[in-house]
Amino acid sequence: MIINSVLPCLISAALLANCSGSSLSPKSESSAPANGVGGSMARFALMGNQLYTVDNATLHVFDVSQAANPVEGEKVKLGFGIETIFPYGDKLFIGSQTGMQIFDASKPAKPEFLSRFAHVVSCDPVVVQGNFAYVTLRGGTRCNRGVNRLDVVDVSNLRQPVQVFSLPMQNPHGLGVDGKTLFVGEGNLGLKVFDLTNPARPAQTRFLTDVKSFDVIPLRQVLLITGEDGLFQYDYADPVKMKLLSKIPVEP
Amino acid sequence: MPQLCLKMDHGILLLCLALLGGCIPQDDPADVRQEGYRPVYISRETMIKIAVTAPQPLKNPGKIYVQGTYLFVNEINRGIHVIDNQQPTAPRTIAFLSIPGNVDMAVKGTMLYADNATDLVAIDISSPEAVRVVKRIAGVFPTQKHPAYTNVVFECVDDSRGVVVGWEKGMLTNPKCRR
Repeated sequence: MIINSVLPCLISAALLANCSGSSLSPKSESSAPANGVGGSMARFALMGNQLYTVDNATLHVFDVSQAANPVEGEKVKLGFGIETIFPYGDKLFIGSQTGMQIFDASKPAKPEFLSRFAHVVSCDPVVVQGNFAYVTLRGGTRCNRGVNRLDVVDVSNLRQPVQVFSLPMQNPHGLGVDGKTLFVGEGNLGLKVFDLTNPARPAQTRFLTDVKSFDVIPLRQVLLITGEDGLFQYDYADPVKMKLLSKIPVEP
Repeated sequence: MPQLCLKMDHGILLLCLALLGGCIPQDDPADVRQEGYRPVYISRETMIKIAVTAPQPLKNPGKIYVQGTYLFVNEINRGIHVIDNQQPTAPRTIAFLSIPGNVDMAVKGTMLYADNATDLVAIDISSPEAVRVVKRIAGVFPTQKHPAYTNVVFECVDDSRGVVVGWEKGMLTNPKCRR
């Protein structure tokens, strides 16, 4: 415990010493304003000095090196039914009603198409961790005739994503992954929690049926959930015994 | 203020409907009355009015965005709740950004990027009580041509009536559009 709390202090002290020593050098990247974090349902994604947005058919690139002055850049045609964008490393994972598309953004202003993982027509947000992408497919009125399921896709070869696992779901919306835990919002039916000890094979550990889940973000042990009933926050330090921290209910 | 404008707009909308009603006899037996979706229009002038107001209750929460200890929760098609989440056990809603037609956002430092119906806006939120739109890129996002549902009927979009910022369910007379 002591080591845990002292070590970061030492490291920051060392960093501070470093900083003061180089105060005359030009501003480094670390002084750039920090980008925030969105959920899997997002159509906006910040990566470095680019803002990527997707609409129904197009990926837009905006240069935000000067934060107050976004400048419109490339427009990339993506096909139809584009739903979401998830930045991971220097790659962009784009969810659409016909599949997941992977773009290389190592040249940030000019994202380059790498591959497409096609599936049946339905809505499909995606999140990525390590070598695996987790994709939920949702059917229903807005999402055509699609099925409801969670797919695990091996993306270790970004040019050739391969589906390795699939689980039936009920009405999946947003999802989020952090370390060994995957959270999947099942819309008004609740929230499912999966153990990722084997990242290729999520194993369901909990199904919280009392929290309606549309968008979810797991971040620093706090799971944020929005749904029809409001904003909920859970402590997931122990994912099997998630603890409700607070809620801001919807008011009629 | 924006609420007032929206209300005024609804007023105008109702007036328009009333005028239409005057032209088309209500009891024409040939009329087909059907439940469907009706576009909610606002004028471009109203659309671009972005304002900060006192905290508002959550009504129809959408996507979430996190920046540091702040949470941003979208109120579908209306704007963004700004929440101080220093203590996740006691989050505090501190302001509401009224942004017509908003569903998405991202934050870099103290700069918030949001969709304002068809436009991308950059909003300086360094002092949340006095937010400023510092840049607007008009017409980057497509206008809504249909509700986000299939197998439904809806009133066709008439661009001359303004920008569509949402859809409301209701009884329609002779709806011409279908999806």
